[in-house]
Amino acid sequence: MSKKIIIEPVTRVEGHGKVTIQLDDNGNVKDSKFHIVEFRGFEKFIQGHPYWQAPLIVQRLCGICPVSHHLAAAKAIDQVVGIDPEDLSPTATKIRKLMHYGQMFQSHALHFFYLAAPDLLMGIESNPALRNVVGVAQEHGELAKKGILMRKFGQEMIKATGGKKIHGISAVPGGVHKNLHQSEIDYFLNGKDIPNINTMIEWSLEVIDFIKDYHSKHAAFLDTFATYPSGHLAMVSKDGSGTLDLYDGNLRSIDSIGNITLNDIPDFQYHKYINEDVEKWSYMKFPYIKHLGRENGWNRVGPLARMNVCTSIDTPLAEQARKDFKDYTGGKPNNMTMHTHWARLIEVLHSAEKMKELLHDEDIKGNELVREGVRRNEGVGVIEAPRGTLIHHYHVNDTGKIEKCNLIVSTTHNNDPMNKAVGWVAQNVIDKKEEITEGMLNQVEVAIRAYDPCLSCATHAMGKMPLELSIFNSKGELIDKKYKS
Amino acid sequence: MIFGIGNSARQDDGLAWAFLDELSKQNKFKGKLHYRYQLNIEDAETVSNAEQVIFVDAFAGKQTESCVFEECKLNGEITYTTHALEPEAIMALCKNVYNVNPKAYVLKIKGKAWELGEELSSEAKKNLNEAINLVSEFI
Repeated sequence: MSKKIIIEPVTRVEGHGKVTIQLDDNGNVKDSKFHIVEFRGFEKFIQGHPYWQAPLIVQRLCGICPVSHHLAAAKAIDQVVGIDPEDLSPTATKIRKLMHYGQMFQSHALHFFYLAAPDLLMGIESNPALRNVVGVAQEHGELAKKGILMRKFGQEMIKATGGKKIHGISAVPGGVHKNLHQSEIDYFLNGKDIPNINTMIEWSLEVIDFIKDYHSKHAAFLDTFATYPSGHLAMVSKDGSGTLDLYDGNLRSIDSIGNITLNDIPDFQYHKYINEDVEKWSYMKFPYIKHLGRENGWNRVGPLARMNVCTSIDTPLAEQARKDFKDYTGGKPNNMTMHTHWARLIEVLHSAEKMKELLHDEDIKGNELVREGVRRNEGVGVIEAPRGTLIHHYHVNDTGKIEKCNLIVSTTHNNDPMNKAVGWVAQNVIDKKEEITEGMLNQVEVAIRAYDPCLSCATHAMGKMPLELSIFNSKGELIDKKYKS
Repeated sequence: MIFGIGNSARQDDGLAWAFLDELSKQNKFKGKLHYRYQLNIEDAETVSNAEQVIFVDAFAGKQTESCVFEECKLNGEITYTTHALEPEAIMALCKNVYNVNPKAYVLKIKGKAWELGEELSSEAKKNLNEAINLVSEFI
């Protein structure tokens, strides 16, 4: 009799996901799917609200990366009030960037120390009761302490620039509503209350050394686990140099061997190049590049994609770390899923360097906070969130009410890649096995966790996505299936 | 030190924040109040500086009492699905990383309504008052 394996919920991700693996009578894997079974619907909720509310409301779809949604929405709404990214005041741009790098720093630190480290340090088949952050702290106390304080530093930066650690209020149409005072800046520089920015850079370098050392000892696992060819999409600077830009830039994508498939298109034109498909078995859409088609046009986004797409990083220590990363594959695109953790830590270092640069910039104390332009009826805001390229698109009517909203969040871009990763584990770890162990099932989750998915962010408008309900009897046999379109 | 865990935009999930608001209003408690949507790893560092900690949260299960005040035991054998951590795991992390073990308690206040909205249900308001009375002498 055929057998269906269900992993629900997938642990150590944000939101509720489900994996099904269908085996045939001989224990061979027939099919695998990563389902997103929770629903948010913010694209619908926001309709009818005044445009200025978008940066405040839409960020509430997530308690993990609200800064990214706050800023992407603010960038889009800037355009509605007639302000393009280059027209913001230097103070507004730099305060927002400081908030963004604080978010990137804390989110990546949290993922590495809290979500990824248990698998890497304790082992993917180790005792699940100890394979968690408390177990990591017991075995690697100093590492855990640094992780906690790095996360705290980023959170404090978000609070200073955004007004609150969660669901900030600083970014407003055309700018920000506060600058930083010298005492607030000193908090991050003098090391009296929290370890200072230099310590953050030092610890970021230590963690990169740690992961490189880990790679040298576990290359066979890291180089092969859930590895598959894919495209990669990310934002790069507008000057054509291909420099990594996490806050504002053009969209570039490459295929698995490095050919450019999207050549620095302006971010507001994303809809001319990117489509979204739907499947019956998931609330989450499947984006792809139009001219490549659904089959070949999907891309990874996030740290690994960014390291593959960019050709340089504009901070010296992270640039050296990027070069080391690229040397590993001889300069070719890196399609090794587990190398995402290494790439993520390079961005931790980059974010720390950028924060230091900005903390010493006089503009963050400036008084020109908001600019106004000529009202428009449409705005697109794109940002590189911790998990990848995040797109907010709003249509606003003449009375200032939002009529239409489209969000393509990072995890949505990674929908196909995560399904590919699950398929790899199903085929290479579970196929033909007589007994399915907890360790095997954890490997499915390890593949998903590399993308640090936020499933809460990635679901779409009410009534737009179908719902599938499968009913199994006590023997695990499928007895009924309901489908609602 | 008291942590209130919840979300005031989801009706009775805001019980813990309402509890902190009430304490602030009474102005009797001299310790620190922390509002949280969820607990996270950096809270282990925060509690490491405390002599005693109370974690307050709304309760949606089959608790019959209006509120329960009990000791928070360490539990490092956590199973978890998201970035959030339970008070027991925060205390275990605090002990493992900072080698301190402040006395900790959990106050669970029973809620009834969990939809979008900022108003507590009438039952939750009643339970909130009982929770305040229950721990006022302790704090």
